[in-house]
Amino acid sequence: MGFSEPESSYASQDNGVGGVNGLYLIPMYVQGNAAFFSSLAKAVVGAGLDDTVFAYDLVNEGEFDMNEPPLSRTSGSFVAPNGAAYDMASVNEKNV
Amino acid sequence: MNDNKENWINTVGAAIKSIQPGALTTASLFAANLVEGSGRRPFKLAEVARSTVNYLDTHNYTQTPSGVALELQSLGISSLASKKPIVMGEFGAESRPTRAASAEVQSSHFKASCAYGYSGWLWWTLDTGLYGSEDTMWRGLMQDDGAMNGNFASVSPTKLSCVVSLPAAYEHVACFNETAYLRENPDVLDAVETGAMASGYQHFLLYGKQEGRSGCSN
Repeated sequence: MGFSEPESSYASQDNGVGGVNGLYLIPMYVQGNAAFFSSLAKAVVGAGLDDTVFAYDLVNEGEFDMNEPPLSRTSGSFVAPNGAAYDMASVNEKNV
Repeated sequence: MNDNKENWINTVGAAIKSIQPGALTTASLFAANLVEGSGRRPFKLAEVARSTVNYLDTHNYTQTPSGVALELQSLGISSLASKKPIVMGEFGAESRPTRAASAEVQSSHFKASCAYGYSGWLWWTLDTGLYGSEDTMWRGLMQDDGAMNGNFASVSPTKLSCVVSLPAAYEHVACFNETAYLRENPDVLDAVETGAMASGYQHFLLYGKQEGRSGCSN
C-alpha cells in the first residue's frame, strides 16, 4: 500500500489468467516464484548471510483481482495449480 | 479458490526451506476495507495463518484514529485463532495532515495493535528522492528534527503491554555500535578507510561475529 505496484507488469492472458492473478494461478508462474526464492536462498547461504536476513516476505501485499480472468468470468470452469477444477459460475467456488 | 493462496505460499516457502531450513517466511497483506468497491481482493489473515509461514505481517495505512480499529477489524484480527507471532511490517503517516494529526493516528496504530498481540512495528517512509511526488506524500520519522520519532517515544511498545525482545541470534542488531567497533578493531577501521569494507557492521556480519569479536561494546 506504500506505493502503487506496477501490476500491469504481471499481466498475462496465458491460460485464461490475467493480471496479478497469474502469479498464483498459472503453474509456470508458481514454479517460477519458487525457483526465484530458491536461487535467492542459495545466494544468501552462499554468502554466509543466514543470520543477517531476518525473513523472506514471499509476496508484498498479496491479492487477487476480480476484474481479471479467470475471476472475472461468470461461466465455464478453471483448473488451478492445486489441480482442483472450479465452477466460474459459482460465487462460492470463485471466492478468494 | 481460496486454497490456491495456501498452495502458493506453501510451494514457494518450501523452496526456500529446502535450501535454508531455518529460514523464517511470511506473506504480508493489507486490509480489504482499504480497497472496498474495487476488484482487489487482498489475502486474508486467517488463510495466511493456516499456511506454513512462520509469522504474520500486516501493512496498515489508515490515516484517521477512528479508522485504525476498522482496519484491524477488516483484517479479521479479533477472530484470529492463530498463535503465530504478528507484526505490523509497514505503517506510515501521510504528510498532508499536520504533524500532530499524523502522530495521533500513528500512535493509535501502536496502541490498538498492541492490544491485539502485535509484537513488532516497522515504519514506512519515502525520503530517498526516488519516487517523485510520492516522496513528499509520506512523513519521515526524522523530519522536523525527529519530531515524529519523538512523538512515538511516549507510546512506544515497550511502554505498553507488549514488550518486544529479539531472539538471541539477532541481539546484535539492537546493540551494535559502529563507533565502538571501529575504535576497538583498528584493522577494521583501516579496511573501512581504504574502502575494502563498507562499514564496521558489514565486517562484523561477514567476519567479526565468527571471529568472536563483540559488536555490542560501549
